[in-house]
Amino acid sequence: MRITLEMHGALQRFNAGGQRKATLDVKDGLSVDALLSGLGMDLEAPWNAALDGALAEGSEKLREGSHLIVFAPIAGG
Amino acid sequence: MVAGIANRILRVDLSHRLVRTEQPDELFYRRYLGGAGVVAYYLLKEMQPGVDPLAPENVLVFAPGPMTGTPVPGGSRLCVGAKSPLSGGMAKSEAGGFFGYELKRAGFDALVVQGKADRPVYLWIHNGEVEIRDAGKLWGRTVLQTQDAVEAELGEKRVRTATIGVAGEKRAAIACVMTDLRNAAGRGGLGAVMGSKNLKCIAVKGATGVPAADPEKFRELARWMNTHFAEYGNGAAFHDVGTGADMAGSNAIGNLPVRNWTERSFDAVEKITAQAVRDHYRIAMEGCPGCQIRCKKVVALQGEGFKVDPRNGGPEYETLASFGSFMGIHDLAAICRANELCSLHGLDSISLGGTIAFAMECFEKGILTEQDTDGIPLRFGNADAMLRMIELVAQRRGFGDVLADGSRKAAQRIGKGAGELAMQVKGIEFGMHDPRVKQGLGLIYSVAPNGADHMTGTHDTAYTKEGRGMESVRSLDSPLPLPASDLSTAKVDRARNQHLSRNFADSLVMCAFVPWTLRQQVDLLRAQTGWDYTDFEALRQGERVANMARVFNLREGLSAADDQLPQRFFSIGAKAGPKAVAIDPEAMARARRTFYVLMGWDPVTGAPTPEKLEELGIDWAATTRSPGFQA
Repeated sequence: MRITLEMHGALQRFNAGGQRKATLDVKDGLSVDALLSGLGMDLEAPWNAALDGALAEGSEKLREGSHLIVFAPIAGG
Repeated sequence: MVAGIANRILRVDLSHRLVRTEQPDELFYRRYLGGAGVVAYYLLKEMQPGVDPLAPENVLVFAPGPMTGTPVPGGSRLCVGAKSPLSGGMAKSEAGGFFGYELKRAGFDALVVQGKADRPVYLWIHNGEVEIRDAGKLWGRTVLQTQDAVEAELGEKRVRTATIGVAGEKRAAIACVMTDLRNAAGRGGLGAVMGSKNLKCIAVKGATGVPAADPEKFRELARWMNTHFAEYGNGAAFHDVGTGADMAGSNAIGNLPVRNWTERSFDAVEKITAQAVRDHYRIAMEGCPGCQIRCKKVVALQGEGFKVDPRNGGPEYETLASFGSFMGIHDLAAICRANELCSLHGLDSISLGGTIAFAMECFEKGILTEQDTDGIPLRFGNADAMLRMIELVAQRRGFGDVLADGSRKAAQRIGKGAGELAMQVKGIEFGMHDPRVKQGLGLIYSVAPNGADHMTGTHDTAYTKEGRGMESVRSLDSPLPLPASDLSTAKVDRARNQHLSRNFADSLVMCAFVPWTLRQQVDLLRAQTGWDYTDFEALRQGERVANMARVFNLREGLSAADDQLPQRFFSIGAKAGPKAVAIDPEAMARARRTFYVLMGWDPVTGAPTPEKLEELGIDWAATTRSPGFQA
């Protein structure tokens, strides 16, 4: 299935070709954690994911056409 | 005395032009530490109930912490507190920069100001000495002009200052205290309190070192943080671009505040992020003493359009959002200029942004017209209107006078149902984090003594999954990830514990952006003071501060009825994603009751019990209550 992956800030280096936004072909039913782990991202580091407009758990499954955005949590400021 | 403690509290009575010092015993310092603890102590202990926040009897406290004055990362901050003209309760706010660092090195653990000078004055504190000097020529000047004039008059360079702008002079209740030109003790209207005392500026210079009981351990901990910060929290992003790095991600989960909380996404978010600031206007990053994160943006705008002087710093996330998406504005140059105006005039960019956004919504809904707003079309997205309104608020001119005391009071003056659009708790406008996404923060927004302040509690999105993000809660509770929208007892317990640990950190006056865990902060305190301090004692200290603030607020007439979120957060809002959620009002009411119970407070009134106060060693606080106070 085909998904869109956006990775922001320092996490961008893990995306395909180091791009901020890329279209990826991935196997059906892949979880957010499995995708990011497969890209070499350190899952222990602080990150959040937005999947189709809401905060996503790492265990959530991707679907055809999913738009996943991965970013560092925003807190103070 | 204990290492790290000067054992001198500086007292200034402006009415009688008296200066003295007092020397509390070691137990005082161990119980209250500094910062928020010392602020709460003096406000509760020394102020009579019912004092007008702008009367001479208000007590204005400037308190660094036991590690301030050392080069430990995040330890140079200052806590400022007083009775708030916005909430009528206890206000406290922390600022970075060098002022706290210098005050401690001038030989003082805190400065407590009472009374009112008969004409404008400033304080000059140096080498343990204090002078009350005439500030007639400084009145009406900007913060930047004041800094330059004070240094010129004193013939000194690198004088550190805490200053008000014209907004504070005119007692705008959303005025703040600026330290070193570009750091703000922003929340609660502390600038108005300073202005009401005719106190324009406090200038300080010190040269006394702050020793540690175990200097080797202390240096080791500081070095560790300066080499490992990028692995924890937002350390890497703060170092690279400062706050506001992931506004686009925040927007994607519906957390970005948009158009006075009416909408859940902002199409132009990429134009107002910290990366956009870096790419267009940033000329440098700078930091506080000893900190290698160096999260503070410095911007310069020259040539056509707006001009912004880099001496006034640059916009933090809260400002990018409050003058950006919150008003539907994506003109980054205008936002940088708005930030500069706040620095020059001494205005809290969060409350000001929240108040102008409120007025914009009133205008869009026809509650206000150009006849009300001095001919200014105060619509969402109008950057020119925003800038013109900031100037009017600072000077309290025209419609600016209506907005100068925050959205709650403005709504009372406007009428016509405007109160429903004033997004505030206890009169304090919200930090730029949506409580529908971060529902534990939503709970803390509602129950915290200083209103909807985002710096007093948990940010749920940091604790939704396993990993190093959980480190900061590992010594507080069962370190299980919890959904951001969860309001279970486990979440309330976490929110409570983080609120208490934040009170402890605010008593050390440690920066929230430096990813120290509670345990590490305790290790630092042990190395600094030589005390056998524990995590348990730290949480107890935070609980003590929370209870003192709660007693103060109840005494001043606030009640459980003030621990409420605006109705708007109980609906999803426009332009929301398909999975967006609102707050369940019943779940929030249960969470609030659970919070009271876990705090040892009355489950209905939220009043601390006499037993709780006695347990915390502050049974004296009960005697400060007004006659009508009942637990």
